[in-house]
Amino acid sequence: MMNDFFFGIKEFGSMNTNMIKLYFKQAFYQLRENRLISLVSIIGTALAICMIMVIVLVLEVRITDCVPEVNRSRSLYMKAMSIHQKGDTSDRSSNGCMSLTVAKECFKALTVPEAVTIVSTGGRMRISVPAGKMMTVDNLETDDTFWKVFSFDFIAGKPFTAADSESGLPKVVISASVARNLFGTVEAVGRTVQLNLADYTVVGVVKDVSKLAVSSYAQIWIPFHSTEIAGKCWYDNAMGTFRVVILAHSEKDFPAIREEAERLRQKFNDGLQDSEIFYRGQPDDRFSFIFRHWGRELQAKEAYLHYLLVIVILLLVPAINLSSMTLSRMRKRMSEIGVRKAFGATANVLLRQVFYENLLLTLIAGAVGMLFSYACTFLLNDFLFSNSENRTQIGETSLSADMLFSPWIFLAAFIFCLLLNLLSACIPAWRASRMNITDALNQR
Amino acid sequence: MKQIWNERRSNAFLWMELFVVFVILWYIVDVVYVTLSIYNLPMGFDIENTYVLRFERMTSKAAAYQPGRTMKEDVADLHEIVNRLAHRSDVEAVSLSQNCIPYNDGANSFSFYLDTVPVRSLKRWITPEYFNVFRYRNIDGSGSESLAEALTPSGMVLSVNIADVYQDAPWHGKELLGRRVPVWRNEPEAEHLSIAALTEPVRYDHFTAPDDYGSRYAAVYLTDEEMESLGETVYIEVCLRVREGQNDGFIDRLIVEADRQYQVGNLYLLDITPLSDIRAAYETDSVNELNTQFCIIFFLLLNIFLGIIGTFWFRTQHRRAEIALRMALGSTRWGICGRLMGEGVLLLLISAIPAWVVAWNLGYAELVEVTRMPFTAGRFAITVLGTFILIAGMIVIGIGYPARRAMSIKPAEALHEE
Repeated sequence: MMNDFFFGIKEFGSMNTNMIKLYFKQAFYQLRENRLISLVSIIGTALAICMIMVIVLVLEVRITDCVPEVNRSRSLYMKAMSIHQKGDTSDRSSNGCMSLTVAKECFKALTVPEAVTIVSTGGRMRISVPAGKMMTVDNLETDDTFWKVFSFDFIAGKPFTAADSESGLPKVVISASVARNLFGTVEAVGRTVQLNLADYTVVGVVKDVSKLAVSSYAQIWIPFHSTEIAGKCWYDNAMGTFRVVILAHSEKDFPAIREEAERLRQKFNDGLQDSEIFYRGQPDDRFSFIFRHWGRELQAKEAYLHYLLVIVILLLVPAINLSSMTLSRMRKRMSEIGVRKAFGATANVLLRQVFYENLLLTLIAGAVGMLFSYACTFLLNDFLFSNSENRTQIGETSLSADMLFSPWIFLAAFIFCLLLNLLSACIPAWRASRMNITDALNQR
Repeated sequence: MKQIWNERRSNAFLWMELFVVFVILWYIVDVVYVTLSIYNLPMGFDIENTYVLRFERMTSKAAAYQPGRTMKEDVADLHEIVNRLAHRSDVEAVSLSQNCIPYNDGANSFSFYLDTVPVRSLKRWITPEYFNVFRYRNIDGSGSESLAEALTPSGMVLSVNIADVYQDAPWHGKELLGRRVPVWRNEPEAEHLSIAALTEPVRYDHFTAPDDYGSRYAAVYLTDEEMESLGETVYIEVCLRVREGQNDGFIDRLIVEADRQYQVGNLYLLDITPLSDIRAAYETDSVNELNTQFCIIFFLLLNIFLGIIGTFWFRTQHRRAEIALRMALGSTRWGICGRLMGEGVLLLLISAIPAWVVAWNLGYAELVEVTRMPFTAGRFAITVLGTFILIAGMIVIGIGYPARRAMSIKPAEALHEE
């Protein structure tokens, strides 16, 4: 069958466009002939494509580059670290975020990457205008390189500088919705706000960030030296409240960065009396990062398997379904095939016709399924993207076009269409075309 | 039956699909059944119209900061704030607690001894008003007021099921009332608390089974000294219940007055959140999982529907002559329709029987959800029957339409076509 199929493809090139037009025209009439059954087939295929696409889209949104996390593909992440007594072989350990000391000595000191930013785990702050409005917001405390690693859309003003960050000047970047809520306008640069009752100056206003940008999302951003957060550390000053994002020049540098980070880790451990820090395989690339739960070993393999299993099950049922439908459609046309064979049509020609017919059907279904899946992703946004980690945050899990529309996804959907088409149509078609003429004529 | 055999070629696909779908669908229906039956059990408390507030200490960077105040003074300030909140006309009750609001993302543990048997449970570290805020219920039917009176530094309140999982414990349920038990250590010089009241069981969230660890608790009085030892007032939750009918716009009303009324000493209002939001956040993952299961059920059923309608459409068209002949010979429409549907349901039955065997074995091998509910014959019967009805429903709809179309034809016309 595959031979016939490839033969068909090879021939495709030599055929003139009129032929192809004719084939499609024929296929189109066939589909119109059996309106209901075509509709059922299209919906069935579209549904399968939609389901798979939604799964892929949900994963895609969390992994691929999108504003402001435009460099996800060349970023490495340190979500958490672990510490235990030197030489401890039991799995007893203390797990959590790192202190500013570790972040600086073990990661900020890296020379291979392009930039390293230190970011607090985030929390809530009270923001208010003196004798004016007040609200609770999600905040991140970070440094100036944050604005290099992530690319924010500044509506007004600019980020705080290295000097601001070093000396912990009370400067704040706020999101557009916060600015609008407090001042009624996004032109808030230079105004004074109170964060937990301390005065800060607004230096920049950025477009709202979706909660799906897990590493950079907040509603206000301030230098970490402007609060007392750096003092919150324990266990030999190693554990604390910070995370690190490393921006490499390119993906190829990942091994070199990991190697250098390992050297710095050992150097840091040499300076510790009784304890030692370790990373459980971090820094992570993006895929591992989203599947890492803070204190545990990575379970990326399980995640892969999980996705594979779900996709196989979701594929199996519609595949059986479509085969059964195509089979009954073929049975109906058995006599037609018999007549045509009697008049000298080769198996190849018949097969090609069936193939085109199904290709057309699957293409239509593919387009419908894609539309469905985008609709589902937007409509079911809350259910698909909210989880217990981001649910406590105040902002929105808004989706933007650049998160969803990428050539990769179109290609994946197309290949999937073709696969379904081959599975469901060509086998019965091939069998039908091989059938004895008399059998076919007698509808046996 | 004979007809099914005659059409075996196309029926084989349908049979295979029905078999595969039956097993998958049963598995999911089973999980959903377990989840839903647990979800609908009583919770033992009520979070409607309740809020949690957090008060933080300002830093030296704030203009109003008063240097040199101790934690003891901060706790006194917090009590003053609670006092002012409790005197609002729209507030019913205000309580203080540590790490134990409902649906909290974390909890303390507690243990005491019944004779020699250690009993472990959640620790509800609270002031007495907590029972009124969340409307816990005394097992004697007297509501929450009696519980608030019972909780003292020397008397604790337990959920009535606290010792149920400990078979060796000398006392269970109501027998616990009034006993004095050692706390943390089973030694004569250990701290002893008396069991002052028992409440109905309180579940941790809607997805926690009643015999789970999270469904047993011991409530212990949170004293001022203990609050001071926490070091930060932000670790202490201030929970309040708003009076019936006054809930609308409560947050806005409170925030307007926050700086004037509820900023005492170095403490200021950091945040106010309705407990319903905290519940939604805590249960998000479980709810999403349930929704996913519903989606898969929907997807599978729709596929069966399409498969059935696709297969039977051609079959009924194919057999128009037969149908017409039957009608000409006096069969009623309903008779024929019933015959076709009977055929579909019989096909389902043939594929369902091996599927039942697979399903029973899956259940027997405990490959299904058994941590929250044991796998029993009753549960198997309900879920298998539910699955059967779901699929049969799809088959009836799927066959009904093509059958009606086929029957609307005049017998003579169809026979003429022959």
